[in-house]
Amino acid sequence: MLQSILAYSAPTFWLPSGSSSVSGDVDWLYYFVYWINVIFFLLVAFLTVFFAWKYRHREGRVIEPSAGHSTALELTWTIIPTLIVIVIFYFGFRGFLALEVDPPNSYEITVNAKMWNWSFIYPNGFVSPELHVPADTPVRFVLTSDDVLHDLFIPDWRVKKDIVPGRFNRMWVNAEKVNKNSKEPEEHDIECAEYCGTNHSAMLSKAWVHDRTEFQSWLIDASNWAGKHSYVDEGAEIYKTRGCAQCHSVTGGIVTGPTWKDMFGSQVPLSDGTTVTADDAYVRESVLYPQAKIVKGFGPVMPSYLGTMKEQDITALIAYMKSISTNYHGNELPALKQIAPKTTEGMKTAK
Amino acid sequence: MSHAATNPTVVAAHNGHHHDPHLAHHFETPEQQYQSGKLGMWVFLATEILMFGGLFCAYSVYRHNHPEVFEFAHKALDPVLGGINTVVLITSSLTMAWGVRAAQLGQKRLLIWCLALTIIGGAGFMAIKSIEYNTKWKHNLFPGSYNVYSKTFTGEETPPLDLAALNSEGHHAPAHEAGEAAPHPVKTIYDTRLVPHDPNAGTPDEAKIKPSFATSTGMVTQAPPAAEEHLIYTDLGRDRHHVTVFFSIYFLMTGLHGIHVLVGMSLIYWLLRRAIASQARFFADGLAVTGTGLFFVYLGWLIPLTFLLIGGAIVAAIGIVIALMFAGRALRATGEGEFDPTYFTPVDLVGLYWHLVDLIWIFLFPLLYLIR
Amino acid sequence: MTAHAGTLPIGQAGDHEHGDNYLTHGRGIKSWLFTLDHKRIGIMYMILVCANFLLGGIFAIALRTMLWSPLRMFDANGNPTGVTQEQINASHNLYNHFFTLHGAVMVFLFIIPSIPAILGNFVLPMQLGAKDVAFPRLNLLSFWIYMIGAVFFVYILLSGVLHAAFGISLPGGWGLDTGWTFYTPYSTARAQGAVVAATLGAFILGFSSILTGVNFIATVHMLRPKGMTWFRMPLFIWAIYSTAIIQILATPVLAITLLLLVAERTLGVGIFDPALGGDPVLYQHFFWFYSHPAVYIMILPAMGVISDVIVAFSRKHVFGYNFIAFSSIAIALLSFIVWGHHLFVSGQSALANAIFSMLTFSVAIPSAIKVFNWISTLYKGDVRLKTPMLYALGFIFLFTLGGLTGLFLGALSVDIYLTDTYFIIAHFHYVMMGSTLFAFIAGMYYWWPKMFGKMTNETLGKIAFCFVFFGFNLTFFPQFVMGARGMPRRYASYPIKFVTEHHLSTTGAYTLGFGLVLVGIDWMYSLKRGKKAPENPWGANTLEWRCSSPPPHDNFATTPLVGDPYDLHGWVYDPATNGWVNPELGHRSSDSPSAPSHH
Repeated sequence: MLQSILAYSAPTFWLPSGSSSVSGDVDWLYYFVYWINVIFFLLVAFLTVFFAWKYRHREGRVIEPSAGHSTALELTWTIIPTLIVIVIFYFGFRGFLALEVDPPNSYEITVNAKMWNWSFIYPNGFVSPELHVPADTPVRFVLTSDDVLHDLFIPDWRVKKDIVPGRFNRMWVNAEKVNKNSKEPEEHDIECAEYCGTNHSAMLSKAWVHDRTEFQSWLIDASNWAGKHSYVDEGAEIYKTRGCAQCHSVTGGIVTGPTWKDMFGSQVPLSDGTTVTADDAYVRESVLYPQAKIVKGFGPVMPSYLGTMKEQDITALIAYMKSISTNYHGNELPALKQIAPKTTEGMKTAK
Repeated sequence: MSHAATNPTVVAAHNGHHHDPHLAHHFETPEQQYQSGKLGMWVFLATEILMFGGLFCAYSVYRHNHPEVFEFAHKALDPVLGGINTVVLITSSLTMAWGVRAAQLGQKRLLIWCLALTIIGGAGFMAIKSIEYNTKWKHNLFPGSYNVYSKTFTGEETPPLDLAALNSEGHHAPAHEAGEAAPHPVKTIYDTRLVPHDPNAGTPDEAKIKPSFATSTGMVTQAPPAAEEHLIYTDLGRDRHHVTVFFSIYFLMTGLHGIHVLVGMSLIYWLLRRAIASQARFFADGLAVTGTGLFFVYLGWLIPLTFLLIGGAIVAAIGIVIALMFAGRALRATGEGEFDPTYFTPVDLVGLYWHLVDLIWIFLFPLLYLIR
Repeated sequence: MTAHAGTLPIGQAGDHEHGDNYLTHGRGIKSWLFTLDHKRIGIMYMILVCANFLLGGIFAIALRTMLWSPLRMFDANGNPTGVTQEQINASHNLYNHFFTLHGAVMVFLFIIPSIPAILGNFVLPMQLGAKDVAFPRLNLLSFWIYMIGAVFFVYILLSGVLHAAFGISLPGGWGLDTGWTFYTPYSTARAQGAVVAATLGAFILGFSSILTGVNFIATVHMLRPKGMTWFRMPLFIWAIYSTAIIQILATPVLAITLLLLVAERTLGVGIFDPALGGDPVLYQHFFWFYSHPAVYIMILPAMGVISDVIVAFSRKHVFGYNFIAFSSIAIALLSFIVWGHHLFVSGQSALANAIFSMLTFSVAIPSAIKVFNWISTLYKGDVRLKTPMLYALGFIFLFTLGGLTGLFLGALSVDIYLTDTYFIIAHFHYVMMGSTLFAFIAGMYYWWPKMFGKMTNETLGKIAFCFVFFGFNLTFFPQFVMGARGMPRRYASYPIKFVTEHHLSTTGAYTLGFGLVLVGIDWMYSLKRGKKAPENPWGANTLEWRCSSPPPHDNFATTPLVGDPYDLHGWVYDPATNGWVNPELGHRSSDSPSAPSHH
């Protein structure tokens, strides 16, 4: 088959490097249409310029009569384009079938898109903000969205599919490694290609292609990553990778959502006029049921992490929030003289 | 050309051309103008049909995807009221067609009667429609957060399991809802489309009591609903999230149609005003104001809103006063209207529009009220 | 001109028999705003539509300026640049509003009404030999509806400016950040902008378009004078007629779609939002059922203008009249069955994708036919490279490139890679802007003498053309390159590897903007100082050139004699008037005395 011969392709003037089982076919058709374009464009441009120059108005030039129409010519330039587009259609459709029909034994990764970050959920339940796939293996993506339309676009693999809330669109890919002998994973860009609001252009991620054997060990390592780090480190990592950072600053600035700096332990005014203490229960509720309590001055725009964020992750996030809040004092030993039975029981003191 | 003869100034203004006063300067003959108007109207009606076509398309898509939802939800609509409305609208179409004929034949008094009856028909349609809307409002079946089946519903009520009961308030006991939920928990996980229809099914009550089950072969052999009206909310399974879509489509379709009825009534009133002699126009205006006022009184009673009641009554009273002031002149001057066999284009065109409004309802009624 | 010093400078040099022309027939603002004269309505459209073009252009310049360099938190070496997340969010937000308003204003307020409403209104009845359109009052109503629709966009703009500058929030949200396509559920459930105002505005503008379409169809069917058979109609009329068919068949579907969208956003009616039980892909089907034909509402009239202009400046009968006329109708009909090619990656079935791909390619064929016919019209002609002709030839270049790149997008597997990238942006700007705008300017230069009785300055016009043509290609050709290299559309910031292409593109946008300003100056200058225009400055044989420049109120005292619109024999250049005369026809006033009657 054509596509098995044409695996990796180096970047050209027009196209970035192609490194999936379908990229060779797509690139070939691209250049096929490209040359048709070049030929016809040059033909039209040449004829236009040439006629406009050759038959330009000059005093005394004798105008020869010419035909007002010619059925033979008309039919020629009706039939030739028709044949050409039939050929392009055929190759386009053939390539499309290769893109569309996933092998039945594919490895399956669930993709969850929300404004404005990606979650890739592996069969063992591990969730990662970046995509890791084994090389030379058909991988199927089940695409889900929590809020609006998104689109998973990986240019180097020549694949793209809309992610429609309420539907389960599918896409598959068989990625190749450029350097087959290297053990290092190789990196590709992931972009959201369907407009999804303010930070649409920041909804980026990376795809990594591992050796088949390396992939398994990566997955095991990654799934156990949290176990080897402190909750605060893990929380900081989740903050960066799971889309919190786009809406919540940790420096005090106001973005789409309230800042986390000094948030934990403070009194948070809500849009219904009441006030709530930002404690563990409040944070957990806000992650899983974000519409339950809306902070005054902000819109009800946060997506729910119900089902995609584990309790352990939430605990880690809370630990991270505590570490950046001056309103929380449970992480420092109180001065001895201040110790009184009442405060030692509490986890926090509100100012 | 009798009309033109009574307007010598107009004829003179046209430099001696044999011009009808209604003939615009860019047309050569009244026939050409009439045909242009007719073509334009037909083209416009085509655009109207396409506009409703979008809604019909949405209807088809959702009905195809969730047939049981439509079967379940349409029970909230009252086919008797819908049927009466169909008759009312068809009758008004008849009077409109009769009016067009009267205009063509120069029967000026008959034309006035026909137009007036058509307006009354339209008003009757809207009145019945408002009763229906009012019922939906009371049952929390308006779209969005006012719909009891919506996730965003703000009220306290639990969604009724069987909407058929809503139209026969007398038989509808509150215990019905709570009591019926229990026997059906198993049924909810199956797609009711898979269930073969059992012609020997028992009475409605039996069907409700009989629990459903799946055999070891995996085939669903649950007792099917004996009659359509016993498809209840819990039968819908996952599709129940789409119940609100039916009401969205119902209100959008009938609402847009209602707006068209109102526009049609206004146009017919405009015709009526021209069809009666100029001295009598204020009499017609008085009657129209009275009618509008009474409609507001009716709405105020239905909703109920006191200020609508009082405001409508005041408007109606003003209308009656105006009508009485000009009644004498009106009675003396009938039969002097603008339309005659040489010029009846507006009557014809508005007639076409009214028939379209009627036609759309004739499609809406079975599609929404008579789903099986 | 100078003989009438002290009165209106425009158009008072009208012809001597009528003493006045449509510009001087009635004075005062009311005589314009409530006129039933198709020519005046055309001129009023021209003013409003050009103002909206300026607005859309300002947004274009603004967004290209923002794209000069990506705003990033880290530079190429990974060092912090000092830009905070808050600044980035604000910048993204602003960019999203800019590209949305650019798209919405250009599509709904400029391109769709440009040629049909301005040139169609002004030229079509005269080319037909009629005194007006079939329903002049409806025509005025369309104009007013257009005005009302435009007010909604002014409101959006105002709300955006007030919010950005003073933090004041008008009801309904501020600005618009949904993209001109208003895709659900973002537009109904999430967007903060004035979505309701925008969709109601577009809904209202749609009715303006529908009523104009109804009017033109009735005019072409009913007001053709004796002798004007279907196949003696100028190709511009064929194009406008085909456009009108699309307008009346497609626009109502947009109207109901937008109404559903408004109902969903305001009342929570669930049709498109999956959270309310609806389906967002249904919205896309509805939207593109209108908006794909709308692309042909934009391009078909342009093709009509080009056909007429090329004939007049090649001094030769158009090549293959029937094929050009029928290809317009074919494009109009085919345009209704290709909308699904906007949904190739939305998850619609493979069968649907295959059918839509095939149908999409079929539209390429009538377009190719037209291009080859135009080129053949040049063959053995007597080509005069006046300003309108330069734009017409520019049109052939840009339309060919835009059309050919469509082949990439019709091919399914390649489209999946290229869709939603800058390749699409470049493609549709070549077709919608490069082609339609060039044809619009060509048409304006061509009919300007007829509209205002003044000639434009050829030298300035040609210099402006060079800037426009070069600037356009510099703006959009690099976008093909970056699109093919994987740059997604609607991105406020972008990977640093695309910075060269963006620099080129932004430079081009400024060049193009400068060229268009020169065009505007040329037009304004001609109103003030332009040479008096003769009755027929280009020697065309279509009927609008048989009445004086500017035309009298009623166009024709008697209906002109109709012949083959592209038979240029008999027209000879008369240096005395700087115009063309046809001794065979005799003078206008001694037209055929036979009593005119409708066909």
